Amino acid sequence: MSNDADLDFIAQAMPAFISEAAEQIEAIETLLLELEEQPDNRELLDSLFRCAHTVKGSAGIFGLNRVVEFTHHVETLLDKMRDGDIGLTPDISTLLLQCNDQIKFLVDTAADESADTAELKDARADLVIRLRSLTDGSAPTPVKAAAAAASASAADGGVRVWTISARFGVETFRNGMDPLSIARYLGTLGKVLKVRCISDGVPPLGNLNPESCYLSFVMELETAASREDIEGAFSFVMDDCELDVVAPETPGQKLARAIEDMPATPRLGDMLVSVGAVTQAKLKEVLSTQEQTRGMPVVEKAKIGDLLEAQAGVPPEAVAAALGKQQKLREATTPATEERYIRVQADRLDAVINLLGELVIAGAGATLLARESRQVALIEANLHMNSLIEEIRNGTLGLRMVPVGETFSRFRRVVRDTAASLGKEVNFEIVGGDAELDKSMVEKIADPLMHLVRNSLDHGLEPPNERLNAGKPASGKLVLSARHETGAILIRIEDDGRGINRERVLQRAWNRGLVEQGFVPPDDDINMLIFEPGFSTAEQVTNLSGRGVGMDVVRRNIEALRGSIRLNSNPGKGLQVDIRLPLTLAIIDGFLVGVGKSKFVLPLESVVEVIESGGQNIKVDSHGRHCVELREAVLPVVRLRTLYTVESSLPDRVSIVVVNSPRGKFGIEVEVLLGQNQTVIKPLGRLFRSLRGISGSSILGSGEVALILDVTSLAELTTAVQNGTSVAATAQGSVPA
Amino acid sequence: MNERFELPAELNIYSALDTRDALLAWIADQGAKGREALDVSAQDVVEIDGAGLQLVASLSNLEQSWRLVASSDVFSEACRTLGFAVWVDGRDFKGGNGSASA
Amino acid sequence: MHADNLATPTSPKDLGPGLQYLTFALAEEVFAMDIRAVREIIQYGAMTAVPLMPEFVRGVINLRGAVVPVIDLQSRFGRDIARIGKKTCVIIFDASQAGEKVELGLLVDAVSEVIEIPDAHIEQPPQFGASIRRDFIRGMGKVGGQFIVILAPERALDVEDMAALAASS
Repeated sequence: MSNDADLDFIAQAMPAFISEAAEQIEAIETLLLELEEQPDNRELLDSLFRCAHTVKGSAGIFGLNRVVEFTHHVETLLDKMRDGDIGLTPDISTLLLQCNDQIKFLVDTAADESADTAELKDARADLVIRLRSLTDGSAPTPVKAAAAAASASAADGGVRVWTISARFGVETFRNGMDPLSIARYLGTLGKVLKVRCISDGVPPLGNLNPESCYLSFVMELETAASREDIEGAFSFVMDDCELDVVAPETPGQKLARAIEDMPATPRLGDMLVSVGAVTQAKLKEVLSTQEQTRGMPVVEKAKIGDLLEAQAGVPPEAVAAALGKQQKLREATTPATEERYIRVQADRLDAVINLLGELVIAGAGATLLARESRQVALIEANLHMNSLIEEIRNGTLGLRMVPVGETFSRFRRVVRDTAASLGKEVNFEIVGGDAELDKSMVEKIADPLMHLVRNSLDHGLEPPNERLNAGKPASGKLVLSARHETGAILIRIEDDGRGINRERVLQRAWNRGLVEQGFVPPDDDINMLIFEPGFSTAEQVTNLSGRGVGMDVVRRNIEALRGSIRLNSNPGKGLQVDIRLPLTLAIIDGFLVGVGKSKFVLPLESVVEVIESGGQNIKVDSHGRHCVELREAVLPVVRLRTLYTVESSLPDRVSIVVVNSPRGKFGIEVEVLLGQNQTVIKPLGRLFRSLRGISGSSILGSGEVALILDVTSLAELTTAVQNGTSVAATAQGSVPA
Repeated sequence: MNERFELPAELNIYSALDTRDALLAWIADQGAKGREALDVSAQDVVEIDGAGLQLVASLSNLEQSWRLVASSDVFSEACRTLGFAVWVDGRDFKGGNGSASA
Repeated sequence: MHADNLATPTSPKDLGPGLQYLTFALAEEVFAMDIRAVREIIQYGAMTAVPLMPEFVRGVINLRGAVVPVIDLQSRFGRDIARIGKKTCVIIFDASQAGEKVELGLLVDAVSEVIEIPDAHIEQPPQFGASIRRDFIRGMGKVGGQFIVILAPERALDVEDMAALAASS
C-alpha cells in the first residue's frame, strides 16, 4: 500500500472482500460435509482447494497476513489430499471443519486485531501444528519457490545477469517497431548469454497475417546497465508488450523464472528440457525409470519431479517452478470457479449487449444524418460519440466470450470413467482450451462434443490387446483441441483408433436404403453417411452412445449453430472430426458492398484488398471459371450478381474485393463499394439454416437489411459454380426472372 | 517449381505479405508432389526484420517439417540475435563466413 | 397497427364458447387464423430478398431492429407468388416452437376484420376439394352461411418443414 489512493480503494473494497470470502467459507463447509460422504471425490477436493486458495489470494491483496498465513496451511493439506497423498479420515474432516471456523473468525475480525485474544491465538497455533504434522515431509510447495526467488540478493552493483522476457503485442509491426532491433539493441548493452525466440503463438502460414506480431523472446543478458536502461529498450512498445525484467538469481532460481515466463506447456519434462534444465536424453532416462514404477501403489510410485531432482540433477527450484506452473495450468483449465468472477445474470448481460447493438445502429443512423446536415460541429460531436460507442463495444463484447477449455475440462472425468468401464486405456489431452467462443454457443456445443468423444471411446479406440496386436501403444490417444481460424473456431476430436470401417458403413447404408444398392459414393461421402438419420442401429446404440441420440442429432445441433462438421478417417490409424463454428460476435466490422439493389457485408478481417474498377480484368479460364490476375497470382472470382441472381442492370464499372479464406484468396465482384461500417449481426434464424455463403443479416443505419457474406462457404460455393451458371440455376433448374 | 524455396532478398514487413503468398503456393505445390519435408533457403536475404523472421518461424507450426538449407550472413546473424539460433547453429552454410560452430 | 387496435369482433354471443380469428384474403379467397398468435400487422414495405431460398420465402424485413422473414402465403400454398397491391400487408405472428421464440411475417393481399367463431361452428376440413393442403387446415368455420378456411399455422408455417424445403431445393 503505497499511497492514499490505494488505501481508499482497499477501504472501499473491504466489505466486498468480506462478503465474498464469507461465501467461500460457507462453500468450504458444504463441500467438507459432502466430502465425508464421498471421500474420494476428486472434484470436491479440487473445489475445496480452490475455495481456500481464493480466500488466501484475496486476503493477500488486502494485506491480511493472519488470514493468509493460516489459510496457507489449510491449503497445503487440501493440496496433498487432492493429489491423493493423504486420504480423508473422520479426524481430518473434523480438523478441517475447525480450521474453516478459524478462517471465518479471522476474516470477520480482519479489521479488528484486538478481537484476537491470546487464548484464541493458542488454539489456532494448535491447529497449525496438527495441520503441519499431516503435511510435513512433502516437496516444497510453489509458494516457497516464489518466496525464495523474491528474496534473491545480489544487491551489489557491477555486472549482473538479467533475464528479460518480452511478449510483443499484435500491433508491434504496424506501430513501426521491430523485435529484432530491440534484441539487437539489448545486445549492445552487454553480453547476451542466451536468447530464445518463442514462436508457438505464430499461426500456421496459411492463417498468418504477416503484419501482425506473435513473437516473444526470453533473453539472458549479462550487463552493468540498470533496470531502467534495459526497460528503456522497450519504451516504444511498452503499451503493447508484456515485459518482465528480472533481477539476477541463482542458476536454479533463474531456471524457475524462465519456466514462469514461458508460454504454457503442460508437460513437466518438456518445460525443463526447453529451458535447458535437463537434456532430452536425461529426460528419457528419467521417464523410463518412472515407467518402471508405474504399476506400484501410489506411495511407492516415483514422482517425476523427485526423479528429475535425484537422477538428472535438476535444481529443486526449477522442478518446483515447473510443478507450480503445471498446477496453475491445471487450475486454469479446470472448470472456472464462480468465486473468481463477479456473478452476472446472463439475461442482464444479454440485455446490455442487445442494447449495445441497438446503439451501434442508432449511431450509424445519426452519423448519416449528421453528414447530410453538413454542420461541422454536429459531425464532430457524432464522431466523438461513435468512438465512445466503439470503446464500449470492445469492452462489452468480450464479456460474452468464454474459453472453451472450461467446457472441455468437464469431459476429463467422463472420459476417465467411460474408458474404465469399457476396459480401455485412454490418454486424453486438451489443447487450446483458452480459445474463446460466445457463451451461448459453448453451452450448445457441449452435448454434441460429448457425444463424439464417447463415440471415439466406444467405437473408435480399441481395447488394449487389440491395439498391441496392431502395433499401437496399449493406451489410446484422444485429443480434443480448439483453435481459431479466420472468423471461425475449429474444434477437433482426434483419436488413433480404428477409424471408420467404410465397407461396413456402406453395407449398412445399402441395407437401410440410404444409398442405392450397389452404388459406391466417394470415400468422404461414405464417411459422412454416419450422420444420416436412420443410420445407427440397435447394434450401435449402446448404453453410452445413447438411445435415439444419434449422429444425425449431432450434425443438426452443429448446423443449428451455423457450423459444419467434417470427418477425416484413416482406417486402422484413427479418426479426426473437425467442427467449424462461426464466431458469432454480436457486432462485426464490415465492408459494405452493393450489387443491384441489394447490399452485402463482408467481414472486414477477411478483406485483403480492393481493386476498384477492376472488373475489366476479369477473364474466363479454360474451365469456364472467372478469375483475375493479381500480381502474378491468379485468383478465382465470384460474381455475386450471377451467383445469387441478383437483379441488376449491368453497370459500367464493377470492382473486385479480394478476400481471404481457409482455402486461399479469391475475389468477389461487386458493383458499388460502400466502405467500412460497423454492423450488428442479426442471425437469420432456422428457416435459413441451409443457406450457403451467407452467415447472417444486419441492419444498416438507413434501416435497410444487408446480408452478411460468409467467406468460407462462399469459397466452397465457387468451386461448385461451373461455367458461370448460378447455383440457383443448377439447383432449381430454372433461373428466376 | 524449385525443389527449395528461395526467400527473397528483402525479407521484411514490406515484402511479408507477398512472400507469404508465394510460400503458401509453393508449399501447396510441394504437397501436391507428395513432399513432406520443405527445404527453404535464405542465401539471398540481405534485408531482414522481425516480421520476416516471424514468417519463417510460422513454418514450424505447419504439419510438414521444414529446414534451412542455405543462409546468408545477414539472415544467420538475425536468427541468432532474435533467438532462432537453432535454425542456423551447427549447420555448415556455404557462402561467406556463415559456417557456424557445432 | 397492433392486433388490439382492430375493429371489435361482431358475433352472436349466445352460441357457446369460441375464439377470435383474424380474417384475411389471398387472391379473393378468405382465410382465418387464431388471433392469439398474431403480434401485429404492418403495411408492405422495403423487403430484402434472400437469395437461394424457395419462392415462398419472400425475404426479410427490419421490424424495429429485428430481422423477420416474410413468407408469401400464396406461394406456400403452391400457387403463384403474390402480386403486391395497395392493400398488401404483412401479418407478424408468433411462430415460437420448442421454447425458441420465432417471429414470422405473412404476406397477404388484404386484412379484414376480426370475428368470433364459436367452436360449435367449426367443422372438419373436407376430405378433398379443399383449395390448400388438408393438413394446413385446422377446420372450416361457418360464418354467415359460408365456410372460411381456418388455417393451422403450426403446420402450414412449420419452420423445420420450410427449412427442410429450402435445404432440398
